[in-house]
Amino acid sequence: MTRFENAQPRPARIWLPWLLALIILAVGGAGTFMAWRYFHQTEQQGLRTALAEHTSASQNRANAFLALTGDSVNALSGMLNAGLDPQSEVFRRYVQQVLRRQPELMAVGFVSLPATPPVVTPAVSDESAEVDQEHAQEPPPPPVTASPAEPALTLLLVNEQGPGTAMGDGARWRGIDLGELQPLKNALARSQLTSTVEYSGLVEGQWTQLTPVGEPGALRGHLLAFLAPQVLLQNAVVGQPQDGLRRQLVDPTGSSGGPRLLYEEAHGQPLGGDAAQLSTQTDISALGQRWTLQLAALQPFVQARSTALPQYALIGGGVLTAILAVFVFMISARSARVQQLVNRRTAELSEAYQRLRDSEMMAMQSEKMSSLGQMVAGVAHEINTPLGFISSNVQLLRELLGRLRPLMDNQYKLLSAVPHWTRLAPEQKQLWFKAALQQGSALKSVREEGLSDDLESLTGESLSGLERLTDLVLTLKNFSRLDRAMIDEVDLNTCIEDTLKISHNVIKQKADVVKDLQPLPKIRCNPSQINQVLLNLITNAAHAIDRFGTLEILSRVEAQEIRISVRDNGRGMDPGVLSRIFEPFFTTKGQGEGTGLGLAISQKIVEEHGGQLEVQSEPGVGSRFTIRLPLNR
Amino acid sequence: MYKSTLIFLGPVMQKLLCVDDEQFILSALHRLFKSQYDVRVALSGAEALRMLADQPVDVVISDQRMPGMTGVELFKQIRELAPATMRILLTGYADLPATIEAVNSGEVFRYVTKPWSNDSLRMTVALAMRAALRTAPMLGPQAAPGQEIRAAVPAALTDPEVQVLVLDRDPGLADLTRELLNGERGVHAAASLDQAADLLEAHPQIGVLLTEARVGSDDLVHVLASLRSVRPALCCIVASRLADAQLVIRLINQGQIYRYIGKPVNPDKLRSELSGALRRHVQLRGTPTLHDRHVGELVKPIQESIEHNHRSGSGLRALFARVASLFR
Repeated sequence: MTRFENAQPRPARIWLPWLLALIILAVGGAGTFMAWRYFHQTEQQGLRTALAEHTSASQNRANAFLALTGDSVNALSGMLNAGLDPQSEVFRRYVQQVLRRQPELMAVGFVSLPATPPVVTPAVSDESAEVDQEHAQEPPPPPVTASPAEPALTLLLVNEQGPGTAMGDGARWRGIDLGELQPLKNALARSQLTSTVEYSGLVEGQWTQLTPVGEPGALRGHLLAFLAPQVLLQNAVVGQPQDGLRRQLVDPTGSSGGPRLLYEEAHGQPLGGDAAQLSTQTDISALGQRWTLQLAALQPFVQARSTALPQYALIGGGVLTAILAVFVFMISARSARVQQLVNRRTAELSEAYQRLRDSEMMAMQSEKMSSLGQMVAGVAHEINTPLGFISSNVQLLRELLGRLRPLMDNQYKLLSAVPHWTRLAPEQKQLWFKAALQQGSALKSVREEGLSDDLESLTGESLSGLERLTDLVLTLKNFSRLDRAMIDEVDLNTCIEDTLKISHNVIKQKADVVKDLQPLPKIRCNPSQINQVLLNLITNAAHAIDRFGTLEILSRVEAQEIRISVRDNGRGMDPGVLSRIFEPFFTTKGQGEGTGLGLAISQKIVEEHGGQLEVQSEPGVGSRFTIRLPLNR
Repeated sequence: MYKSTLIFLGPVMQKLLCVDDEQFILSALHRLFKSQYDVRVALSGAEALRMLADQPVDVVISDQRMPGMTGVELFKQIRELAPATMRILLTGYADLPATIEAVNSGEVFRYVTKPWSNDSLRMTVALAMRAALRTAPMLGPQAAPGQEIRAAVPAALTDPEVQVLVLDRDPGLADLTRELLNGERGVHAAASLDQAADLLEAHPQIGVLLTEARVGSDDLVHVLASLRSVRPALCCIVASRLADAQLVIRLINQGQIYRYIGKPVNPDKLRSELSGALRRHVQLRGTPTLHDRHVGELVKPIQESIEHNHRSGSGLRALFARVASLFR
């Protein structure tokens, strides 16, 4: 029970469920969000990867087409190198095949060169800065410029499909003095020297490529090819209708100076919002120029590749988080409530326990006082009775002595005359005789009254009464152990005798006391407590007797125990009362007549001594209470 | 028994019976009274009754706490068997219930506590002996068992004119009294001693006084004692919540009250006591000699009492003054 004395309530922490729920929500929310973002990003990554694939595919195709074009041109030039006459029908047919196959070739032509190789004059060569001094005076001979016969476009076949038609009538080209076109001229010049394809660039707004035919130093001409790279690229980048992409081909250096959209195709609805960022931009280099290809994902592209995973993750995560939060909230709320309840109960219990302890103390105190009061009532009478007769006797003593004194005085007077008898006159003697007779009769009446017997008896009885009083005071002291140690080695028969003396007045009216006390060894106990128990049992027995009965007290040593039993032939108790008789506050007396604690306290005292208090009872026959105390403790 | 020297002083010596379970008490009492009276002793109530059956006595002195029968129980029986006997209780312990029973059932003349003063006890016994001598004829010789004192009163003496005075600060007691008496007779109510004195003077028919033990801070013992000397036939019933055994003893010895009942009052009990009191009053009024049976212990002289109580209210003083004037 001492737990309750120091019960420290654990704090209920009402805020905990909310905090935990918030944490769960936060963590769950964050987790859900991250999962969603992961899936979303994975998706986006996938989209970008797919887009990149498309882009690189387009790029590869563009390169492939370019390569193909280059191969075709090289094939033609190879034919010419092999000796095929460019004017021949065979060559024309080849060219037309190529043109049909390669719509980006707008036109293929041949630029022939004169038979005589051009003479390289020093004047042409910049390096010959040495001028013969001798010849410096003579007017230099006019430089023999390498003015060969002007190259002439001897063949031009225009691609009838696609943008080749932009070429228009090849006649226009025939008339052009190709020599006038400086870039062409330079290119021609260079190519004559190196026999590599030196020139590719714009001529009259057309992309031109010159491929030398012949050996270096023995050039026969150039194969001229007009290219429309945008056609090439358009064909390269064209996509599938279902692919859901928008393709834009942009010429970053358009004719107007800014980016020029060359080609666009889109399959599907554009995405809204920030998804428009899902696009790629890549450069395609072709023919020495850079083109920009932009691929943007449209709705079909995205939809084909998106799963509902992010949404599932979001919903699933959200639901899970919510459930978990609610669950945790409920559990910890319950736990907090329970803790609160426990705290409240603990506080209530502590309080109740304290009140109970207080009231227990008060009740024990009042029981002590009431048993003390009972004792005092009996003891007061026990004291007053001897005091009564002693007082009366001593008062009488004084009276009697008062009567005796004059007698003694007279006696003295009479007898003191005797030595002077002879000197007395007769009338004096007469007086003496008279006085003596009076004295004689006074003494006679005193004798007849039995005064001396009275004096004898009253002093004797008074002394006896005084002895009784002395014994009573001693018994009181013994009973309460006021001037002795609390624990002592005691012969319990002495306790029994003391208690009987104290309670003599209470018992004498109700019962005859029969003692059957056998010699007992001394045992270690608290004698005033044992006296309290004995007094309680004896007074209970007296109260149980209705008119007049018998109270029997036995003391024995049996089986390593001291047994003291108090038996009465009073009312007895029925089993219902018997089972509750040691219960605190249980009493069969009316209200105000008993605290109901006497037997409870007695039992506690006996148990504290390591013993037991037992009871047997039969209604109408009587009761017997037995104290059993172990010999060795 | 004890040798007692009989001295013939004229008529036959009156008889004194002492009852106590303590031998030495009986011995002391015997020694004290043997020269004046014929002293008998008994060690128990049963023995006493046996002795009384053989021969009646004038005065019985008995202890309260005895095995078998208590003193009050003995007196109850003696009241019935020999109503002329004067009863004195001599006890070593004054517990309240026994004290109240002593006056109500035992109708004791005196309640004496041990240890006692020989002179006081001699005076008490002398008064009791005188009363017994003078009233024995009218209370009849030893009546048959069961016959109560009421039978001695001729029926013609019950007087419907006798009135009741109720003295209490709380008017509830007077109301209850009126209710119980059913308007058969007049009931006066007083809330203070002044009022009571006025009413007493004004209504000589007041024969029964029902009063609290204390009115204000004055306790009524002296008042009752004084009233007794002026109106000896007045029969007093004290109703009080106070639980003071000493007060009850003084009410018995000095106030010579008829009954003592506790508050809250049990109406049935009050009714029966009122009718008893009325009968007693009529009896006392009709036979003044009976007053000897209710002579109270001497109180300090009235003058001294006035001085002693000078700090109490004017009521007491006025009452005493009036009482004194009535005396003259």
